[in-house]
Amino acid sequence: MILGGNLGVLFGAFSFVVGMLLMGNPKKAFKGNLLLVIGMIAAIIGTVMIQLVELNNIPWARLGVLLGLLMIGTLIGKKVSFSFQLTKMPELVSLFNGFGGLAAGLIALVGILQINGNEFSIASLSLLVSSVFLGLFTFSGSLVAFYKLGGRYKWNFKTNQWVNASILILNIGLIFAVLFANSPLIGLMALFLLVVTSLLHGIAFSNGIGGGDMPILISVLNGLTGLLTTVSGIYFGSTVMILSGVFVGATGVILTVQMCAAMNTSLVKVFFGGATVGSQAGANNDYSELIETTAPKVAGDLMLLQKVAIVPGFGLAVAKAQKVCRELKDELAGMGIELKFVIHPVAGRMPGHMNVLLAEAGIEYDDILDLAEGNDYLEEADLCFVIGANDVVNISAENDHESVIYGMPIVQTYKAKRVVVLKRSLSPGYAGIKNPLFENEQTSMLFLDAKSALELIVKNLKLK
Amino acid sequence: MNFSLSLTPLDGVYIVLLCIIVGIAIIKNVPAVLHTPLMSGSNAISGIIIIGGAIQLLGPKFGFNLSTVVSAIGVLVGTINVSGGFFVTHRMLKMFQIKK
Repeated sequence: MILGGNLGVLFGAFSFVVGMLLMGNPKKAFKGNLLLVIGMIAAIIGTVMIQLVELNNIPWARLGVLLGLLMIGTLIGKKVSFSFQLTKMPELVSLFNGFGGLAAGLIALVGILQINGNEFSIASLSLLVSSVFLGLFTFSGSLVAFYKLGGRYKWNFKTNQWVNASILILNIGLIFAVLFANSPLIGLMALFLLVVTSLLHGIAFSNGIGGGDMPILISVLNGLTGLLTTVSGIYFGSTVMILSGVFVGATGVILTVQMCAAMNTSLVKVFFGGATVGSQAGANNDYSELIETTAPKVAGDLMLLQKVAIVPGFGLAVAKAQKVCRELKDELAGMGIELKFVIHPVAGRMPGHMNVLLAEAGIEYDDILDLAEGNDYLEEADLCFVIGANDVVNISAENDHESVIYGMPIVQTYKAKRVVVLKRSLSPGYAGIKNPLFENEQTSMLFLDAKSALELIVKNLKLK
Repeated sequence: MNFSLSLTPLDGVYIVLLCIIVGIAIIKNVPAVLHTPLMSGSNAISGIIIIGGAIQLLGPKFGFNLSTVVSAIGVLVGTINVSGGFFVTHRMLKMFQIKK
């Protein structure tokens, strides 16, 4: 039985590696995910088997409780995940990430309570205490991200780098207090305080971050869950746990680095710079010489072209315009016109957000280009639509040394012969600055909601 | 027959290091198209932490007390994370499978 259990866990670890490998290939990712599920089930069954061997008799009651919890949890998870629209994916990912943090924090808390009064090594205690801190921090931080993404976050109190720094020092102090407490009572009190301040820390951490920095926050929280799982894996001596923790951590770290590079910013700036960038709005948001256009006119022009691009942003998700993008694509394809999508790494609210939306609309990944490919494509493009994107196409990033976003790689829409910007109003993007692209003579503005604008264009194309 | 190996702390370091190399090597090559599913999928497997909760629940200290209740909540919340994460990933990846 112990051999069976070990083989189960080994099979679980193996499935995780192969599953993650498949997750890197669009054609095989679906199978990869199923393999991850199988790996998870195998790892749980294997662990339970090993655990049962160590007890002399089979504890049916406890086994029943465990099985019940697993089943109820699975059903709740299924219900929650199907109750959200796909446009709300970033919210769901944050929510589940928070749940993972809470679970890890609680399990580590029990670990501490169980060794209380027994022989223990300072090493295992420090693993547990840091798990409690990281777990609860991730939990409250992810919940704040969840509410922010849903636009339901109302607190928005003022925090700055000093609040964050002092609460960090306080928490580190408390961790040491738990580790080196003279009496169990002091240790417990410090632990209790740590629980509270870890939760507060997570809130303060996520509080100041919003809008365009959201993809970075989500990646960082994801990475923290990975670190947490690795730490717990070391405590429980479970290789499969370490392995999955490292996968999650690597995902978080690699995506964080990519997101930061794509925004030409650093983690320190995002988390300790406060929300200074967004507050400069209004100052120089006056535009002159904007060229306006209408949907029928755009439709008329489109028919004479060969290559068209769409640069989507968060506004596409807000307007739920992904399906009508597909209609436009099909309509153009019928006329022999090529339409491709160019996606900036930080478009949307989480890494890959736009890709999911476009996939939902049934647009194939071959028609979706990343920044480098997209900029090459734009050189040949006759017309480029900018839909609900702003900062990622702001040419100030390339030619205005004074600009807050100077140096950020952008989608070079100006390379296309014409640019049509779909926008409801001239409100600035998250960075709160003017976009000189709108004033270019090759740019025309279509002041309409993205969805209705595209619907009008498609309608006009069909008429002709 | 005894199949169990006892590992030294140094073996543990090897395991962690090898895991990190494998993890980074695999994740690095994931294209941007799949970043969201990758994130929710890896989010789901981070819920493997529930096996720690299972060990606690099946451990010798089981009884109806605070520890048990907290472990049970941990396992429940962790399972929601696992199943929710997998179902979300499943929903997303289903859309990537375009039938011609």
